Amino acid sequence: MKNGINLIILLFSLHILSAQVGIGTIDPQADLEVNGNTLVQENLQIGTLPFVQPADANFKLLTRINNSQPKGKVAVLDVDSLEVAPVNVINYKFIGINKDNLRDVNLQFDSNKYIVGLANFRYEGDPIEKVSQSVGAFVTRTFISNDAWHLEIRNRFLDLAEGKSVTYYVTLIVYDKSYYRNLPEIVTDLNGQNNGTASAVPNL
Amino acid sequence: MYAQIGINTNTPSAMLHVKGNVRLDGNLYLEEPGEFNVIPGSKLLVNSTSNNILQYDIERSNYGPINYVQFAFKNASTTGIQDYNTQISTIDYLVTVQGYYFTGPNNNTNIMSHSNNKAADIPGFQMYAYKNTTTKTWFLRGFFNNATFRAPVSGGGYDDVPVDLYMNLIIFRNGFISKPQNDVTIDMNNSETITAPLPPGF
Repeated sequence: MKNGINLIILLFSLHILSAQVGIGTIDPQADLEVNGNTLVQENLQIGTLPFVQPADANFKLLTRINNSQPKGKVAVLDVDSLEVAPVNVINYKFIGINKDNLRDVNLQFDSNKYIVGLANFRYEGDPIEKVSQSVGAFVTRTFISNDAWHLEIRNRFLDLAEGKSVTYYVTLIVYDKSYYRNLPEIVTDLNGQNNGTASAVPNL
Repeated sequence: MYAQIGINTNTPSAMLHVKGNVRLDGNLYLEEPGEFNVIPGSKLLVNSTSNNILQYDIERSNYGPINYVQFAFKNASTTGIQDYNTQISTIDYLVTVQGYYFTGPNNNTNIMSHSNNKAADIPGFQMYAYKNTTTKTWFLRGFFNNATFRAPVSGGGYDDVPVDLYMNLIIFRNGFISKPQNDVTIDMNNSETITAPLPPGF
């Protein structure tokens, strides 16, 4: 902060109005070049900001750090150096399954911080057999219990026969909630109909 | 002391007003930039590989942080798809299959999976993307285990038919907002419930 004030005094006293200005440099490469840190206490407005072009690649998202010193450091989001990215893709494999039943796997991802979705499902192994011509009810889903994400994969109604086995593969997509909003559940009583309309526009 | 400063302008409209380009060699701190909570009309800011701050317009860029595409496989084998090269780079992207459906010829929904073994079997399905390490591209598989796609045929009865298989892909750009984490294998030890280890950092 002290440096900031000094710089302003310096600029004011120099009174340079139509040339390139350097702060901390005698060879400015732009209309204003600051060779050092810059602190903007209020708004920063950029009149002309070019767009990413189709040929551009590997650009990085900019973020603002709230707890930096001074506050508000602008930083590049480099997911490769972060342990947890806004979106994380994790392949899971389940072996040693009791019949076909993953009834409740506590994945331990904090539901206050993350949203967990499923992709790339693979059922590898012996088939479940029909009973009374029914295929039962095969379920793959994630759900929240006690502030943690859980996983269920199984045929709820039917079971794999003794001596048979299955291996499940599934990819979890783990979204950070500072980037992805989890809307509250939308419940609709369809009164036996097969169509309907949400009672309100979802809060998006 | 508290006058406004103009660079290349005599009428500065802020404490510091630079008419032209600015280059910052050190850090930039924005102490109180204000809050903004209206998504429509706003653009994310990105830093280019040449260190320019750019607006990110998903329609102008070659890719989004998250991309959706449907692959429509017409007239696929009666056993589905074993190896399909999407030609999408495994270095730049993470490909996930997040949904699928299938129809018979002419959008006929009268089609089913049918076990090669016995009528009582319920074939499990596998709809997924995987990395081919030779081509360094994502491949797709979509099929029911030891089964064919079957539909009613004229003259009565059922027969194996080519399938129109639709796979719904979400494609994440690597190194932007998404990253792959290490694979996890969990041995259920013949239990229906377990607490899985939490990957590091979460």
